[in-house]
Amino acid sequence: MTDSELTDKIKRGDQQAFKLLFDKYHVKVFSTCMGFVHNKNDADDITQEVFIEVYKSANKFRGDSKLSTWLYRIAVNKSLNFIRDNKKSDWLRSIETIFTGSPSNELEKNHNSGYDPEMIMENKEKAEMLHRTIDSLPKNQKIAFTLNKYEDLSYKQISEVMDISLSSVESLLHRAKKNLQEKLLSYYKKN
Amino acid sequence: MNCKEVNKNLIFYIDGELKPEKETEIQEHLMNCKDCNILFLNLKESMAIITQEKEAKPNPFLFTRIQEEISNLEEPRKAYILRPNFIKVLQAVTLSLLLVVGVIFGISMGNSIQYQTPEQSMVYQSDEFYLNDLQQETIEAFLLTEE
Repeated sequence: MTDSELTDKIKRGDQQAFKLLFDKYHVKVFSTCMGFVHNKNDADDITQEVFIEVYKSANKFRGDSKLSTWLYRIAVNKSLNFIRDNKKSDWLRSIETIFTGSPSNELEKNHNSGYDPEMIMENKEKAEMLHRTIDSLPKNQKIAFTLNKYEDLSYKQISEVMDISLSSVESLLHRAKKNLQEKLLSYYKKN
Repeated sequence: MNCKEVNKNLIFYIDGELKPEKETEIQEHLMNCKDCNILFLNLKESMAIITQEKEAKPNPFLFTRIQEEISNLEEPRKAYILRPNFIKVLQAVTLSLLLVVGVIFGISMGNSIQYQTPEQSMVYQSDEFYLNDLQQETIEAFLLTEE
């Protein structure tokens, strides 16, 4: 079933078509959200919000852009809104982790399977530093970088999602990588 | 190529975005410069974290959660009235209305009370004076009569 057939059926309230749409795109949406929030539970919540939004506003989708582009746009907006509205600040989150000791992301779970504690700590620090650096990027650089790195979207696809030119995407990605490199290298030099 | 120039291009080297000549130069530099090589390995490890994060899988019950949420959205209007939030709002509105009614009642009661003016008060005193019959029938006269 093509995307336009899927959306037509969803507009008519077809639950099976909605399930097909979910099966086809939920991993991509989840992965995009992960790139922004770096936390599995939060990414699950945002993915849920994205699909509810799709269900509610399917009638508004005119088909001018691809269905995937529309989904990525919703996922990016919802993720950015989540970051903005998130009351739980980083320091509170880190305190929670200290007290509960619960691994909140997939990376930590992967590292807990058989490596020595020193290595786990080192990788955890590196992951936190990487997340902080990505989060500190200017909004558009962050969107372009996340879509490119976490979702492997091509420059053309990113330009469609962000509604900007190809050259702007190139420039955003170049600057994002330079900023990221600069910050990470200065961190490594200090440590 | 010096260390500064290599450090400026490491991320693009990792992503394979450099021209072959530049790539070879960096490769040769990294083989000979220990410091740059350490930085390169650290950066490479950091970028590999993204690949690890991409392996994360969404909750297998996510669709059930979404379906549940959608069915809540589609509940008839009646159900909305029974929701706890609506009841809380209703309680607050009722209390506010009662308060307003109480205040209005208090004001109207206050306005209905008639206070005595000084003149009215004097009249009362003079009435009291006239009703005093001691002068008409003195106590002495009363005692004499008893005897």
